[in-house]
Amino acid sequence: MPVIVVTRLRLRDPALLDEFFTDAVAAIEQAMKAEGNLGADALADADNAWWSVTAWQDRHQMQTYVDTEPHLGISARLDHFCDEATFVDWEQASPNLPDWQTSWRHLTADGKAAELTRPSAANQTRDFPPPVEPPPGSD
Amino acid sequence: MPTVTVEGPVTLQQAAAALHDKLGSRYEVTTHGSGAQQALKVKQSAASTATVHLDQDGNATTFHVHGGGLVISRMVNEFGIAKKVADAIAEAFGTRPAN
Repeated sequence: MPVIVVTRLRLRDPALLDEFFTDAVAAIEQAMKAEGNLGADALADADNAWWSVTAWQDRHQMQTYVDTEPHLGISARLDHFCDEATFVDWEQASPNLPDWQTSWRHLTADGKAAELTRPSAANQTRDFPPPVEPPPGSD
Repeated sequence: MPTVTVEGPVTLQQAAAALHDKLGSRYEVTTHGSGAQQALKVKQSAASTATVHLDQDGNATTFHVHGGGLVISRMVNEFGIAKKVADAIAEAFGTRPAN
């Protein structure tokens, strides 16, 4: 059954954006080319938060991606970049990526927070606002 | 996604005029959608686009600026043209962009 993985990362300092952006693009590109990937997307939210969502054929292929460079090294830098870092995954019948509001609902209900040196209060409570998206069809 | 909050109500038409003025003729600014879904599209080239939509909240207007395109190109546009558009709005309405 397809596995969906959603991440929400908030930069602890806007000055880190250049550095973070390079890593974020590398991770998304890697996911899109990875074996077993069914789709990937990213959203720049308000308040320096970045979302990603990926769909995988199964957990094994997802884990192979997670444990492969550049993702492996990038995940080790989350503590440097973030004051909020939360992840959630679930299985679903459809291989299609969920919309961002569905991703937000799963993340705030069942997400797991990374252990960070400088976490915000919301990092543990997952009291995150819904992501701000552009109006449909505006692309 | 860059956001800019300014005091007072600002219409989409006022925002479009301000962007025309600040960005110049190399950028095309058009209005899309209607009602709450209404937005501005700012285009520098086929690959470099951004969308601006407004939230009115009491006596403040918040501009949300999203990069256009698909996945990677959208991420690049979040970093490039969206930031430029947010800076132009902030300059036009006398405030500071938040990232």
